Amino acid sequence: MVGITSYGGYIPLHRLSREEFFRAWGGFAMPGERAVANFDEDSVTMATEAAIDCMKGIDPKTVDGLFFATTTSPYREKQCSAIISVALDLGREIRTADFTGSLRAGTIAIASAMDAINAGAAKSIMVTAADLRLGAPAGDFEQALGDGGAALLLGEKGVIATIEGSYSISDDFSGVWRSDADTFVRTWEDRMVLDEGYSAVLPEAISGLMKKYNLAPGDFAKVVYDTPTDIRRHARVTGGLKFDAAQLQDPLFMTVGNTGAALAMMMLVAALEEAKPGDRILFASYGNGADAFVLQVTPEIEKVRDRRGIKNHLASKRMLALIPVRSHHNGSLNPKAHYQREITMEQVLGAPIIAWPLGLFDCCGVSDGAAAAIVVRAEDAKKFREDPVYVKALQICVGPGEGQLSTVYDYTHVEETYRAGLAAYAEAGISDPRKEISMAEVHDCFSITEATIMEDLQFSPRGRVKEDLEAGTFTLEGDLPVQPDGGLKCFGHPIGASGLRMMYEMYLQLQGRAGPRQIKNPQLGLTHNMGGQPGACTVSCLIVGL
Amino acid sequence: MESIRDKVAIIGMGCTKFGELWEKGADDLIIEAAYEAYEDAGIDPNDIQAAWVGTVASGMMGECLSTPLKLRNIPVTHVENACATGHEALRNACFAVASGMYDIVLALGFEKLKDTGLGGLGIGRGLHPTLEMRRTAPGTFAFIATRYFHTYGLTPEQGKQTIAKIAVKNHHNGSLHPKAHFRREVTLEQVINAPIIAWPLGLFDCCPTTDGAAAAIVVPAAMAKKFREDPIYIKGIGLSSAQLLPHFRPNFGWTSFTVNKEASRQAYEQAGIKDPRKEISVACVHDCFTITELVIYEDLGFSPVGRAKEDVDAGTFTLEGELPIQSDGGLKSFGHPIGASGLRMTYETYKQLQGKCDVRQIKNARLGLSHTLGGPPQVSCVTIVGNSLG
Repeated sequence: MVGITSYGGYIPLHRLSREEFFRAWGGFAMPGERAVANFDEDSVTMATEAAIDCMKGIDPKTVDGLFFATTTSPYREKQCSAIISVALDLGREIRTADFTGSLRAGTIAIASAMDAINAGAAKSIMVTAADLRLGAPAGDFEQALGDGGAALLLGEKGVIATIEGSYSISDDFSGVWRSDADTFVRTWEDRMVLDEGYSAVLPEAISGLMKKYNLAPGDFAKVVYDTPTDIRRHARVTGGLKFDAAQLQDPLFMTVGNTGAALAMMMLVAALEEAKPGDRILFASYGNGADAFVLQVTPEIEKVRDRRGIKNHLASKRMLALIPVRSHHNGSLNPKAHYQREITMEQVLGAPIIAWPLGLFDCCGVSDGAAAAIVVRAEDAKKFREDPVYVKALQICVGPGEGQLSTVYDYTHVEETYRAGLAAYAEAGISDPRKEISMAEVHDCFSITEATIMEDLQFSPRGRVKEDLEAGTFTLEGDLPVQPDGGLKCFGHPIGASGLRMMYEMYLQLQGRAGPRQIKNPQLGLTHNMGGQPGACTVSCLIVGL
Repeated sequence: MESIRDKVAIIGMGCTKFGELWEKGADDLIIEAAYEAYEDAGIDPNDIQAAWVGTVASGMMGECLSTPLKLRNIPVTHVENACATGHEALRNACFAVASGMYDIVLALGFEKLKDTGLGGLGIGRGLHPTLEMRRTAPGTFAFIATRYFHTYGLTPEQGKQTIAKIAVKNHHNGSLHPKAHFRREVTLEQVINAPIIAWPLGLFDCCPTTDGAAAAIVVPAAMAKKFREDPIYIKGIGLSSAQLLPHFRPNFGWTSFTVNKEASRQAYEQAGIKDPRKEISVACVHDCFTITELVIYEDLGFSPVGRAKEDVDAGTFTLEGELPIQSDGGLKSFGHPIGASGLRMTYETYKQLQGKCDVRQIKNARLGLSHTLGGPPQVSCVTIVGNSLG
């Protein structure tokens, strides 16, 4: 039976607090934030991102169609689904089509794919959707809309959610539109648009579907349907249909905004991320009529849990914020730190942007300071004190500046850090850094720098530092405390002093003199210092121990 | 403490043409100096295991060397110690090799001063806001000149004539070196009558603003003969830093620099030199101004204190003299790209000890000394090299 075999999502990393609109224009601010596409993104790139996410582990040769739904195609004449199919390497002998003109273009595409597969014309069709609609400056749409994309793969094999049935209504109605020449979304007066459009037609389609298949509101684990600009209408629309609030899928208003033709599909992806085998889902979308589907989740759902989808895209922003919150906590325990104040996740996420996506609390301070060390030969050390700290490795690595010239540099790691780490581990005889290193002070000039250093120094697997951050691995109580003194972020960054300041903390910790920050029984401490820019920098990596 | 003597050797050196090199960038200079050194040493660029780069105004970190030379992910350290920067790069390279950490390392100093918006040398960074208001390098060294003349009883005319002879000597030597910035002789009259920069120092008493680079390849002494028949061994490296700017010290005499005495004392002790005037065959010293060279003669023990004039008049330090100084023309004539200078001087002593200096060749050269003096001034480095072990 035809159904969904995979899903993917995409949300641009840039989220704009709706407070910012109030600050710019006055008037009022809607709650929450909206996603804003970067200058180099459009509906095609976002749909492609979602489709790539959806294709994880799937052979492109098995897909024989690609549909793209949007109301904001970058081309009036040129097929965008063909562009996306090339990006996915789908081959030439496939059916590509763009669906547009309606906010339910996504569900129309799904229905069409379903029909094609049912008719035996195709075995597997990728349905992508993305939208990037503009609201007029200072208007409601400017705040309420959002940018994003989703992708669903439909087919007959390995179905994660079967499509048990569908029901559609077509309804000519000029509620919300953009003419040939309009840049911004236009609308008639709210009540007429909603009362005669969304709030009338969507319940009609949903009840028509339930009647057709003899289902009751209580038969659904989740009810997924999109929302108009006025978010209050979302829950109200089904009031007469007797759904529980708990059944309704979050319309992403607080976190993403209304993503037009992609919204219903993005919500469905979010629902599938949480769905359990056996769940029945009602899926519907409104726009010049409405489409409604009955979906049934299968045990196969467990095989597609590794998608970035919606949940991980929403979480990606929070990953970085965990870093300064931890550093500020550690700094608050350090009487010599520049900043000795704790901060909250909300403060970090709500702080002014310095260079997007880095906000104020993602950046280290400009500080004055000095640090010093006395060095003697190891064999002489015990003459001076009982507990000298020995240098186990002392390596620097300088790249030839090729990162900035290279077209294949990935900008997700710093080669010099990776190699300085390798050299230091070899020198110190360390084979499993994550286990053997007790603690580290690394160059957290920016929160993202610390995140990538964790991977470059092999504390976390590539691309998976997020899991360690969320697990608290690098907190004072974690497996491998990082920045126990607050780091550059909180202790501060007087450039010439920083490497020695890091060493000072390792020295105190190894000697058990770090007060409330003391780590239990540390054996080896690592310091990491970096100068320059990713792609052309100097990195030092030192390891000390008792 | 141990001595660096005979622990490491230089097996290759390179030096660019010095001058106002409008047609060259810093990368060009680095590549030219490094590849001359590689070729001289007979090594492949990939043999380099670590590097030290000295520059004061033309780079911020090791990457300024690793990028043009495509040194892939080896340790490269940027060092800076005012005018002693070039020597500092060599010194750190020597100690790293002596420690046993590395076998083949590169020390390179460079400076690209022209085309970079720099008006000229002399006004440093971090000057004291009131005590050093508008202090310049010519101004500071002019104080040395007037005080020296006063203390040792030279009339202004005698003093001016004495330091002018140093400029004449250095221009003569520079005229014989194809890589020197200025290759033109000057007369005593030209020097004395030149426009005054900071009295009594005139135009020809001051060194120029120059672009250039110089490099050395350092290996353990025990390995040196594998690379060439005539390696040059490090005999001693002394470095001294003053704890207060000399002109803030109430008892500063303005006729000599403690750091010069201390750096040379360390170097002589390591090299086992008792009588530098007799034992040193050739020296390249820090003649940022002619008066500086005059007091260096005394600080380094080449002339008795207060009596350097006699040696200048006797021609002791000319190419034909008892102890030739600035056989390549010195800062005055060869030029002063700050980070390169210590290595450029070593390039000259290296070539002299190998007998490769053509018309400037000094007979039977055995020990060569180079000396840099940095800051206002409060840092001095003395490096002594020799062409045989023991």
